[in-house]
Amino acid sequence: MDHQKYIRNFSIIAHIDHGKSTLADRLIEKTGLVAERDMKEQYLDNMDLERERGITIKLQTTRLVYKANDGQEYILNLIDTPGHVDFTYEVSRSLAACEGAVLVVDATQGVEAQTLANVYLALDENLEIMPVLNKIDLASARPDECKEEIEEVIGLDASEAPLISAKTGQGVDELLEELIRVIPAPEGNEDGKLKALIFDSKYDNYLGVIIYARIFDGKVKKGDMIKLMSTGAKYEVTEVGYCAPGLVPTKELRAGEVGYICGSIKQVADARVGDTVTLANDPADEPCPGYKKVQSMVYCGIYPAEGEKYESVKDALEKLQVNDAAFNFEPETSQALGYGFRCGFLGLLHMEIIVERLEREFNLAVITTAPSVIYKVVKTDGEVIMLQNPSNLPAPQEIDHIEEPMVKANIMIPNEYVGSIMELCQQRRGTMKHMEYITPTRVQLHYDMPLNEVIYDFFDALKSKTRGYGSLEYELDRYQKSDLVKLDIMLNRELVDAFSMIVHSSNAYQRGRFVCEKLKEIIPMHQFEVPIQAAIGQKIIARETVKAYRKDVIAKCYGGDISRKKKLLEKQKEGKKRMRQFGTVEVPQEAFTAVLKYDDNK
Amino acid sequence: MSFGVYIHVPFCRSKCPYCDFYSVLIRDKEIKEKYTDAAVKEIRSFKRYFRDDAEHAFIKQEPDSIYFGGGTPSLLEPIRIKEMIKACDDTFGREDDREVTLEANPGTVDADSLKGFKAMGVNRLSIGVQSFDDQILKKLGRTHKTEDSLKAFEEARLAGFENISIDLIFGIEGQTMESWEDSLKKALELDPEHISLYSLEFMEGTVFTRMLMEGRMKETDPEEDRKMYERAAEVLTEAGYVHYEISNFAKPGYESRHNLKYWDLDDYAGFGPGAHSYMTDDDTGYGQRFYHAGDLEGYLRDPLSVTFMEPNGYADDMQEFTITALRRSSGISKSEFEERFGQDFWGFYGDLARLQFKSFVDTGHAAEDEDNIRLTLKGFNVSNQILSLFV
Repeated sequence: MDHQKYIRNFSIIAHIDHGKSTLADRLIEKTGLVAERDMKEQYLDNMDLERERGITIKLQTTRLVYKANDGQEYILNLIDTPGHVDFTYEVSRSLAACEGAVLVVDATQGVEAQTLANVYLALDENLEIMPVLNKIDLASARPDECKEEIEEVIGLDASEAPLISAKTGQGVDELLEELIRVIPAPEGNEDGKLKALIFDSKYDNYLGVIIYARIFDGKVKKGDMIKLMSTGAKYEVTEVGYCAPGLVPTKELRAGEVGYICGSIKQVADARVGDTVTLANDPADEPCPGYKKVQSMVYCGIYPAEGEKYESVKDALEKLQVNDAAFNFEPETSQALGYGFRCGFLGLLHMEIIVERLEREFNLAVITTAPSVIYKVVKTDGEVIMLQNPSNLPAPQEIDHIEEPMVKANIMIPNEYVGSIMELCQQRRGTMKHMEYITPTRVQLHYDMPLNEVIYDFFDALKSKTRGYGSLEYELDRYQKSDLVKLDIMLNRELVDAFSMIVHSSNAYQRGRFVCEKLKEIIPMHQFEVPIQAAIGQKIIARETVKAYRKDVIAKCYGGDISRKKKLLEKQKEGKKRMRQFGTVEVPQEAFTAVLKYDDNK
Repeated sequence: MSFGVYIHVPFCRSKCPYCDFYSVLIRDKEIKEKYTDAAVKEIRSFKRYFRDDAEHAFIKQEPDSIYFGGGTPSLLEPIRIKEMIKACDDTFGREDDREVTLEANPGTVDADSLKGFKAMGVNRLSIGVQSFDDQILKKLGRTHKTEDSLKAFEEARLAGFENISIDLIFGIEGQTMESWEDSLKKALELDPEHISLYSLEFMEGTVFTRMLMEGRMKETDPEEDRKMYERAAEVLTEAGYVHYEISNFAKPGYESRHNLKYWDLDDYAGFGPGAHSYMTDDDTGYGQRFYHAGDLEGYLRDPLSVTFMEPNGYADDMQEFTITALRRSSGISKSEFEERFGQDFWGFYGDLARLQFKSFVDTGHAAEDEDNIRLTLKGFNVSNQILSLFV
C-alpha cells in the first residue's frame, strides 16, 4: 500500500473567473508536464467553446508529477470540475473521487454563492478543503478580509491559506507543498474487490467510451471483465491508463489511483457518471454511494432550418448524445417547423452549448423553440400529463389545474444591489425565504422561485443588474399548483406553434408585449404589412406591425461592382436561408431565441 | 460578342466622402504625364501580354466603346486622352462607329478643354452633376455649384457634344422631395440624352460610412427613398426617356453602349490602377475577372505588375449574367440564355427559385412570359431580394 502514500487526489473549486483554469495551467507548467511553448492558455478547457466562454463544460483530468521538498516524487491527480450551476451533479461526482479540494478565492472579490455551493458539495463528500487566495498581484487584493470571510462564512481555518497569483506564478510552489501536507493520501485496499467510481466519460471514435474513474479498492487491467453496477452490463477491458493530460496506457490501475478504462462501450449513457465499475466475476458488495440518473430540467424543440436535412440533424444529435449522458431527445412535429426533436437539457447554458455545437461542429443550421420546463397537467378526468411541449397543452376545459416546478434559489450579491435584485425576484414570482448578511457588505438571499422564471433570462438579468457580481445556484424543490396560461403568437394571423409558451397569467400581458416588440425588431420588412399578435386563447393581448417593404438601394452596377454585388446577393441569400417561412412571412431563425433574451431596456 | 475598353483615371481635386472609386488627390502636372505613359504602355502590351501566355490567348475584335472613368478624367489634358485613344487604336484596331465616353466634373472643364476633348475623339460626355441644389452639393462634399453644372453643360453643347449624360444622387439625409423634384426639373430643362440616378450608398471605407457608424449621419428613410425613385421614374418616363436599366434612363437610341457590356456580360478590358476587366477565356469558354490594385505608385513602376485574376467557373457566368441582365428592363430571353450557356434557364436555377420567382410575379414585382423574364419598376425597388434567387 506504499504507493498510495505518494498520491494526492484533488479538485479545484472556484467561482467563474476566480482563476481555476489559470491555476490548473500553472500547476501543469510547474510540474513540467507540458513544455511552456506548448502551453495554450487554459490547457484544460479544450473545447473552443469553453475557451471562448471562459467556462469549463466537460471535465478534464490530469496527472501531475511533483518532486517535493522532501525529495519524494508525488503523483497529483487533478480532477477538474465543470464551472456552471447546470452541472452540479457532475461536480459532486468529481469531488467524490478526491480526498481533498483546493478552494480558490479571488482575493479581490471574496466568497461567491457558487463557491459556497461547491464547498458544501465538497464537505458533503468529507473532503479536506484547502483555501487559497488568488490574484494577490492585483492592487485591489484584500487577502486579510477574504480570509476572515472564509472563516466566517464557511468556518474553515484560512490563516495558513497560501497567497498566490495564478497569473504570475507567485506562491504556486508553496501551494504545492501545502497541498501535499494538507490533503490526505488515499487509503484504499489494493487487494480488495474492484470498486471504481466513474466521474466522467466521453466518447472517442477509436476507443469507444472512455471511462474516467477513481479506483477506491482493488485493481483493474486489460483483459479483465468489468461490470457496471447500476445496469449490470459487462465489458472486457481493452485498455487502462492515466491522463497526462493525453491518454497514456499503463499495465494496471490500482487502489488510490485515477485513470481511464476503455471497454468498447458504445455510448456514454451506458457508462454514466456516478456509476461504479467492478469486476464481473468478483464484484464489490455495494457500489459507491451517490449515484443518480441526471434529470433534464429544461426542454426545447430543435428543428432543421430551411434546406437542412432532418437526418443530418438526427445524426448529429445522436453523436452528441453518445458523448453527453445528460442530454436526451426524441422526435416531435410542429405545424410551423415540420419534423424535429424535443430535447432535454440540464439548464439553459447546457442547451445553448448543444445548439452551438450543432452549428459549429456539425455545420448545421437549426431552429430552437422557446425552452420550457416540465409542467404537470392534471386533467378533469384525473389523468396526469407531464408536459414538455407547450403546444401539446390540452384544451382549457379539459384541464383541472397545472402545476409547475419550483426551485430553491440562493443568490449572493453585494449589499448595494439588494433592492434591485429583490425587485427582480419579485417580478419573477419569487418568494423570499430569508436573507442573511454573510459579511457586512455581502448578502445571501434565499428564494422560492418557479423554475420557468429562472430558465428564461433570470441569470442574465441578475448579472446585468449587479454588474456581474451577483451569483446564483438553484435546485429543484417541488411541484406547485399555479395559475398558468398558454401564450400564442400569430404572424399575419396564423398561429406559429413554435413560439407558444406557458406563462403565469400575471406576466402574460407583459410577456406578450415583449415578444411582439422583439419580433417587430427582428422580422424584416416584407412586401406587405405583417401583423404580429400575442393571444391567450381567442383573446389578443398585444399587437405590433412590421411595415411593408424593405427597399434596396438603387445602386450603380458597373464593371468593378459585379463581383461585390454578387457577394452581397450571396450574403442576402445566406441570410434568407436562415429565415423560416411561415405562410407568407419570413422569420429569421434567431427570432426563436431572441424573444427569450433579457433586454436591459425592457 | 462586342468588346469595350475602360480606362481608369485615378485623379481628383478633392475626395468626395461617399465615393469608393479609387483615386488620389492630384499634386502636380508631371504625375498626369507619368500616368498617361504607364497607361499607354499597358494598353500597348495588352495583346502581347496575353498572347505570350498561351493559356489565355484572347483574340478580340475592335472595341466599339472606350470609356474614361474615374476619378476625374476631365482633369487630364485633351492631348493625354488622345495618346490613350491612339494606343487603343494601334493595339486593337479602330472601329469607326465607336462610343468614346469621358467622365467630366463641373468646374474642371471649360469651353476650350471641351472643344479639345471633342477634337481628340471623345463623343460622349458623362457629367457628374449629382444635384441642382447647392446645399445638397455641399453635403455631398462636391466642390462645384449648380451654376458650374449649367455652365459645363452649355459649353459642352457649344463644343459640339450631342450625347451627354448626367448623374444625379437621391436619398440623402436632409434632401426633401421638393429639392429632388426641382433637380429632376432642371435636368429635364437641359435636355440631356442620358440620365443616371443613384440612391446614396454607404460604401465600405468611405467617410460617410464612418460618419454613419459614429452616428453623425443617418440613412434616409427607405420609404422616402423609394418615393424619390418612383417619382423620378415617373417624371423621366413621361418626358420620353426609356428606363432601360435600374439606375439608367436614356432617350431612345442613346443607351450607354459601354455600360450595356456590364449588364450583357460582354468582354471589357480595363486599364489603369483600380480598373476591372472581364474577358472570356477562349480555352475554357468561361469568363475571367482581372483587376488592378488601387495603387498608383505600383502602377507607375510597372503597369503590368499589379493585376489580380478571378477565373469564373461553370456557374459563375450564368449567375453573373442573370443578376446583371435582370437590371435591364428588357430582362432575359430564356432562349438566348440557353443558346449562350447551353443550359435551360429554369433547369439551371431549379424549381425552388422558379417558385420563388413566381411569387414575385404574382405580386407584380416581376414578369414572365413564354421567352422572357424581367423585373418591373416595383421589382426594381426590391431588386436585391429577387436577384438573390439567382446566386
